[in-house]
Amino acid sequence: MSEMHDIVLKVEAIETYYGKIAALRGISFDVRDKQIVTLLGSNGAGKSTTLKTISGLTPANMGKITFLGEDITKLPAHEIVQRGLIHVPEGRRIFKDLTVTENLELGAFTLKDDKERQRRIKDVFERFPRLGERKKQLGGTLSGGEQQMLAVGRGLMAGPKLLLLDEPSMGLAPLIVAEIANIIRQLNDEGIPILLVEQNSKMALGLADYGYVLDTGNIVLEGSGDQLKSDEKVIKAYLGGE
Amino acid sequence: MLSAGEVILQQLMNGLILGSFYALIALGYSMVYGIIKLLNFAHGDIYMTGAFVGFFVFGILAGTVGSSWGGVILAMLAAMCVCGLLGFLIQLLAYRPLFDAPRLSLLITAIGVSLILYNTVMIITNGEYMFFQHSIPAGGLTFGNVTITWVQLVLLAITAVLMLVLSWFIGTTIWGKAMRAISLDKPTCRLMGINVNKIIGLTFFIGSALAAVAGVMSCVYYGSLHYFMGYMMGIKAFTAAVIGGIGSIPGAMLGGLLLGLLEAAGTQALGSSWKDVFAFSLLIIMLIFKPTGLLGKTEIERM
Ligand SMILES: Nc1ncnc2c1ncn2[C@@H]1O[C@H](COP(=O)(O)OP(=O)(O)OP(=O)(O)O)[C@@H](O)[C@H]1O
Ligand SMILES: [Mg+2]
Repeated sequence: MSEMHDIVLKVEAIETYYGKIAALRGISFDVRDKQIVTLLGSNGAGKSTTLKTISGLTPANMGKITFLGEDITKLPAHEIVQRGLIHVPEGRRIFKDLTVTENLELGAFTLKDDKERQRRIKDVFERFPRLGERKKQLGGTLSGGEQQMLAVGRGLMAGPKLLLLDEPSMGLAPLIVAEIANIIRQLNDEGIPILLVEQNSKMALGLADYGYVLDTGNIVLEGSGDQLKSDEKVIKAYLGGE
Repeated sequence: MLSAGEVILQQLMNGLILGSFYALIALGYSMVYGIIKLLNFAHGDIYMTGAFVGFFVFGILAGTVGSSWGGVILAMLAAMCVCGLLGFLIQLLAYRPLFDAPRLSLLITAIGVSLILYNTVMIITNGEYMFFQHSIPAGGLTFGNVTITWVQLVLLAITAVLMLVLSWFIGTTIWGKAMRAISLDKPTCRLMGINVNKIIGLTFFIGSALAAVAGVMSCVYYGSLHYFMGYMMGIKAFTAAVIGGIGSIPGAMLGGLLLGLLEAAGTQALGSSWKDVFAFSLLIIMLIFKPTGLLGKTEIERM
């Protein structure tokens, strides 16, 4: 499996339109097994659209997406999830009026076996004790950091073979951002490849094995995490360097 | 003359029965509104269709299973299946192509579907009243001069069981949770691996099946049926759904029962010719002072 699937996700020349406006103008990249790959870019660059195109929410008009050797370009979102490609969306998108436990249960909607679902909830509560303490609370009443943990936990419920994370650090205090970064590192150590979209480039490049920089629907730069960290353009545009 | 207590008991029963009809139908309005924000104006006609399906099945079965409760229950199950499927198909063929279209197209389509159902049944029945003749034993529990009939008690029991089952389904099964989640955030539901259209279809099936039960219950209770019976009933049940808070399932149950009880009280106080005025005044008062309804969160969109 590791030879065949060394490349977990292969994105080839995808173009995505909102009506007549192109949001992605033919971008290509790979995520390899055990990697953390990051997509950087400023507001409106097309980062979220890239993730939504991969997970099937805004299907590509052109190009090809291959996941674990299978062409998923034309699959509806719910079938892509069944294959283990899990997208944790921007803004967390917790079901506000559902409890923490119910949010998690829905993360494993595709699972037939309710016992297994309950077992995974226990795992999530072990990983995130703060969620366990709030399991009966409505999702909307959690703090931002807790909601992000719930969003990640809900993604883990599906047993991901690849996690797409869209701006997990958004709007969180530095201490919580560090906590989230640790969680991402740990998940990756456990063997889950991760495609991380961030505006917090410092955090993302600290974690990533490889990164791509997106600008108005095009990839304009790529390289290893260390290469990008020391790239002048990146420092200027995204790391707030002088 | 009845004593005050007897009058109250009698009107309480009348109100609960009427409220059961309203609640069973209001549930369909509310579930569908919750999930796709559509005021499904064809829903009253599903109730009417359910009554006719039940009527025909009941007639066919009379020779073999008789025309008492056995026949009624089987007719009810048949009407649930037929109307459930009908609701599902209407959703699939008429509404689904318009899910992404402006809300108003969906609403107008629902009115069109209502006209189709209504006119179809009118043509089939020649526009005539049908009489539902059953041999359910008369009698019941007698308190002084008031008798609560077995029919009333059984109909209330059926309603209660259906509401409990529905609450269990929505509250505890994964499909019920998916339904609630869809009414909050569809794209995110798709990221959970939920086939959103399938759950919408299921919602229509359940809502329509519940309306069909009300249809067959009304056959038993009133003894007659006609093609326009869904019109006023639909509007009243919709009123009940708004009073309870459209989109809210407990709200539809509460709104239905409350409207039934208030109508019974209003009829007792002012006479039956005033009962519709009563219901709609209540609707207007509700819309002015608490537009989200008693248990609802979403305000109904202005059309
Ligand atoms: N639903 C939509 N309809 C129309 N245009 C959209 C839609 N979503 C995004 N866009 C446009 O597509 C482009 C890319 O948006 P996208 O959300 O992918 O950017 P992003 O890189 O994630 O930005 P941010 O950092 O602000 O989240 C933007 O120009 C945006 O205005
Ligand atoms: Mg974004």
